[in-house]
Amino acid sequence: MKEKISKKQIEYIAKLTGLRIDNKEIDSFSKELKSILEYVSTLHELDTESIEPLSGLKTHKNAWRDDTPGTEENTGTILRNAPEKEKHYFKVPKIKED
Amino acid sequence: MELCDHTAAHLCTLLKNGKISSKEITESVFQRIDKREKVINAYISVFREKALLQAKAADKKFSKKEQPSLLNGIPIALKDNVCTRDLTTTCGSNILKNYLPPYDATAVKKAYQHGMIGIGKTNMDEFGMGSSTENSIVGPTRNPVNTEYVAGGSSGGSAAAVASGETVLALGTDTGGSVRQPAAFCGIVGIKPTYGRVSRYGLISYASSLDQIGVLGRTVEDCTMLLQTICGPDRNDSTSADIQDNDFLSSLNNNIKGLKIGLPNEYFNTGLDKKIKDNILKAVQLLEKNGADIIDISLPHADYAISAYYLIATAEASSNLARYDGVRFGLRAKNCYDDIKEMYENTRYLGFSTEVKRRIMLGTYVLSAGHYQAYYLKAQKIRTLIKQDFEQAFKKVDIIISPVTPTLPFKLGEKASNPLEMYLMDLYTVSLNMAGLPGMSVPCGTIDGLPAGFQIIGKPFDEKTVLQTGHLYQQLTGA
Amino acid sequence: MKYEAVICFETHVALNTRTKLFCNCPVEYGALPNTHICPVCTGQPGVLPVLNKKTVEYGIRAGLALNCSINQKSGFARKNYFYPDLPKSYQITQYEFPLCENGYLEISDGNKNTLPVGIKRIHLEEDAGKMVHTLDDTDSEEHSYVDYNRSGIPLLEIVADHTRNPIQTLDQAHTYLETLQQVLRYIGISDCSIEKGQFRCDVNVSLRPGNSKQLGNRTEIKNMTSFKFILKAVEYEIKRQIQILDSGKQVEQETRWFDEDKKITRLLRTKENAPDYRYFPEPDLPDITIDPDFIANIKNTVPELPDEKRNRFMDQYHLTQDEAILLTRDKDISDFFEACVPECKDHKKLTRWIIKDLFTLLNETSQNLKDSALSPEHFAELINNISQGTITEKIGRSVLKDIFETGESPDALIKRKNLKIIQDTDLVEKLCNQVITENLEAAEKIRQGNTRPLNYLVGQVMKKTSGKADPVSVRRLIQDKL
Repeated sequence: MKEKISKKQIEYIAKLTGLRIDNKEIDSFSKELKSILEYVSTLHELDTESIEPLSGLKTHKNAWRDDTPGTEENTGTILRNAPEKEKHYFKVPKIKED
Repeated sequence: MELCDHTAAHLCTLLKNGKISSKEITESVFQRIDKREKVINAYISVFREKALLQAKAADKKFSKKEQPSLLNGIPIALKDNVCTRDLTTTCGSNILKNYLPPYDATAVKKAYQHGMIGIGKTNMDEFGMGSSTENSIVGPTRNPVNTEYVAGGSSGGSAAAVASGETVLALGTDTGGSVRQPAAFCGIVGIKPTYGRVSRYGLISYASSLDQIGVLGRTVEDCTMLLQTICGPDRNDSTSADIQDNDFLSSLNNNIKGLKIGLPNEYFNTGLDKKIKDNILKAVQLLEKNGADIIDISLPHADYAISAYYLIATAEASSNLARYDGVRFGLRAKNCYDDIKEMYENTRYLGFSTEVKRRIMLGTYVLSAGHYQAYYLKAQKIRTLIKQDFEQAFKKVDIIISPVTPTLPFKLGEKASNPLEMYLMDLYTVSLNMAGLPGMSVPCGTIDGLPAGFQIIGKPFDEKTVLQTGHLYQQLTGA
Repeated sequence: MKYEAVICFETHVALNTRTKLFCNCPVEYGALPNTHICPVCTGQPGVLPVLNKKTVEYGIRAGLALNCSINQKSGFARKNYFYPDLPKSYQITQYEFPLCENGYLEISDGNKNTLPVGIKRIHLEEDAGKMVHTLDDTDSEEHSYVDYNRSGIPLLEIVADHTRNPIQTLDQAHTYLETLQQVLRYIGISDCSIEKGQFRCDVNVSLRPGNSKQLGNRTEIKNMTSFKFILKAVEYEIKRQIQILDSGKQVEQETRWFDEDKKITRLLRTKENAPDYRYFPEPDLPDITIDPDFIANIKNTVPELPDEKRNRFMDQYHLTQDEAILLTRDKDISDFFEACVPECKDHKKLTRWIIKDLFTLLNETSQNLKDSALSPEHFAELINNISQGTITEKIGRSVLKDIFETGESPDALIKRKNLKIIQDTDLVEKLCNQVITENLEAAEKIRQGNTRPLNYLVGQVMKKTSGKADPVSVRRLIQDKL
C-alpha cells in the first residue's frame, strides 16, 4: 500500500491537531511521514481478519468508585497555572460564533 | 568511592546501624552534582532545600528507632514527566516550562512515604519521545561513562544520574524501552514492570496503553527494593492491577536450577552488533552453567513490532498531547487575541519540538477518517499476535533473554537527522510494552569502553523470576 | 406533493449523582466558578479517569425504563476536538459499545392510541465546562471565560431510532419530550430541568416524499433552549425542507443552529466540514462488564412507571383518565395521593382537592410538595374534616394554606382557631332572623320571587358567623323563612 502524503494532507492533519506547520516543515514532514508509512505498510502483509484488536491490557474488571464527594480544595493550585485568568475564571481570546 | 557511589542496599545497612546519616548521603549526592552536573546535564531541576529537610526527617526516624521503611533516607531522582506537587514538572518541553502540578504522582507519594529523599527532576526526551535524551529544552544529557556519547533515552537523565553518582536510585518511564535502553547505555540496571504493576496516576501520558513507571539503580537488588516500594493497585488508576503481592525481595536469592530460558531466533540474527551478541551469549552460558536450561524459541511476529508500536504510540500520543493548548496551564503564545484557533496553533508551534510534532502528526493521521481501519485497528490486531507469540513461548520457557539495543551507545548528534533510523533501534524493547510484560536490562560488561546490556523478559506479573535471574547473574559476576 | 416528516431527538440528560462521572468533585449548580474542580476534571497532565459506579446504575435504570437491552459489555471511547471548555481536548464518551440499545418510549397521542417511539441507544459521556462570554465590570470585548464546574458532570445521551416508529408531527414531538422527561424524573436519575441545562435536545429532521420509500437527507439542529423553541425550530425546518423539495432541489445534509430571535434555523456546518473526531477506544478505562444479577438488582430500583400507574389509578381508584393523568404527572404527587388514600374516606373529594386546591397552592408558592411541611396524614385529616361537615370548604382552603407552611395538624388548628361549623341551629336561625330584619328591602324582593339578593343575605349571615355557618343550610333557612 503506497501512501502518498500530499502537502494538502499535511495541512489538513496539522489543522485537525492544532499545529502550525511552516512551509519548510511541510516538505520534511511529508517526506518523513511517507517513509514511516512505507515502513509500516509491511503490516498489511499479515492476514488479521479473524484477530481481535487488543486495545489495552487492562486486567481490571469494572474499576469503579462510590458516589462519595471528595473534600479537597483545589481551586488555588489549579488556577495558579492559568496563563491568564479573571475573577476565578480561565481567560481566553474571544470565541467568535460563526 | 564516595557515599553517593554505594548501592542502596549497602547504604541501608549503614543507616540502620547508625554508621552514617541520610544527611551525609544526601550531601554527598549534591557534592557529586556540583562536580559533574555541568557536563552530564542529568537534571532539569534540583531541590536542595527540600531534600535536606527530607533527610532531616528521615534521620529523625532512625534516631527514634521507629522501624523506618526499607529505603528510608535513600536519595531518589525523579524523571521530569512524573508529577511532583508544587515543583516544576516540564517533560523536557517548552510547553510545560513552568508547570507546577497540583498533586504528587502516586509512585512519588509512595517513595516519599517510605522516607526517600527527592533530589531533583531528571532530563528526558521531550514527552518521552526519543531514544537519546538529546531532544530536551535543557539540552542533551551525556553518558557518564564517556561524555561524547548519549546516555540513551528517553530516561537518559535518570540513567546518567544513577551512573554518575548524582543519585542512588531513580524513577524513569518506559513506553517502548525508555528505561531499559538508557540503563544499558549507562551500564546500570533498569526495570520496566508488568503493565498495571505501578500506578500511572501522575505519569504524564505519552501512550496510555504502553507507558509504565520503571526503576533505575546500580544493582538488581537496589532496583528490587525500589520496585517493591512503588508497586501496588491504585484507586486513582483504573488500569492498575488489583494485585497485592509485591514481595520481590524475599525470593531474590533463590537459585535458578531448572529454570527454562528462551532465546528468540529472530533477535539474534543480523542487525545485532556481533560483540554485543557475544557478551549476551556469554551471560546466557553462565546461567546455563548454574542450572538453567536454554531453549530456542520463536517470536514469529517480531519484525512487525516496531511498525505496530509506532502506530499505536503516536495515535495515543496525538490524543494525550492535545490538552496542551495554552488554555489552562503551560505556555500560551502571546499576541494572539484575535482568535482562539491562532492561540492554539501558535502555542503548540512554540511549545513542541519537531520530533513531538512529527509524532503527533503521524498519530493524527493514523486515527483520521479513512485511515483508522488500515492503520490503528490493524496495529492493535498485530499487537494481539505479538502477545500471543509470547504466550506460546512462555508455555515452553520461564523467562526470555534478548538484547536491549542492536548497537552500542552512539555519539551525540549522530542519529539526529534520520527519525526512522532512531525508531528502528527499539526493536527488542517495544514488544514488551505491546504485550505488557516485565523486562529488565542488566549490564554485561563493556565493549570498546562502552556499556552493553542484556534484557530479561518475564511472564506477566512474574517480576520475581526476572529479578532472581538478574540478581544471580550479578552475584556470579561480582557486580 | 405531500411529505412525511421524520423527527428524531438526541437528548442529553444530566444525572443527579452526587459526584461527577470520572472524579469525586461534587455536582452542584450555581456554585462560584471553578470551585468544584480537581486535577482530573480540568485535564491536568498525568491524571486518569475513574468511573462513578452510580452512573452505570442510573444508565441501566434508564435502559430498563425505556425497554432497552442492556449490553453485557460496553466501553468508552475518546472523541477528539479542540475547544476551551473541553479540558483534555477530548471527551470521554461511548461510541461503538454503548450501555443500552434497541428500546422504545411509549407515548400517547391524547386519545386511546400509543406510539412506541424507537430508542436506538443510551450511553454515558462527560459534560464539558461552561463558556461565559461577558463578565460584569470587565472589558470582555476581546475575551471569553471558562468555568470547569460543569466539566465532567455525567450525561446520559438518549438517541431515538428513526427506523422504528419515529415521531412525525409536532404534537408527537412535544409529547415525546414531555414523556421522556417524566419517565426520567420518575426513576429518579435526573431532575431534567431545562433551565438548569439538565435536559438538552438536538433534533434531526428529514422528509420523505409521499410516493417514495427513500428518506431524504437529514439536517441536525442544535442550540434550542426550551420546549417552545425546539418545536418552533422543527416547524421551521420542516417548512424549509418542503420549500427546497418542492422546488426540485435536494436537501443538503448539514448541521444547523436555531436563531431564537429570528426563529429560523441557520447553517452551522456542511457535511464536508463535519469535524473528524478520530474516535478510538479509551485506553485509560477497562470495559464495563454487567452480569444478569447486577441488572436484576437495578430492576428492583425501577419504580412503577407513569403509564402503569395511570392505568392502575383508573382501575383501583375509579378515576377518570384526566384525573389519573394529573395525579400521576409527578411521582411525588402520586405517592402523596396514595399515602392519603388509606386515611381518607372520600376519595373523590381527595382527588378534587389535590388537582384543584393543592396544585393551585403549589403554583402560587412555587414550591415542591416534598419541600413543604404538608404531610399526607394531615392532608387526609383536612379532607375528612370537610367531608364530615366539620368545616366549610372555604375555611378548608385557608386551613390548607396554614398547614402547608407550618405543618400543624388540621384538627389542632381547627380547634385552636375555633373554625368549626356552627352546629347550634337555634343560633343560626336567630342570626338569619336578624339579617332578615336588618335587610327588609332585600327580604321583600325575595318574597316577591326575586332570588338575587339571596346571596347577599347568606353572605351577611356568614359574616356574622365569621364564615363558620354552613352556607347551604343558611341559604335553605332563609329561603324557607321567606
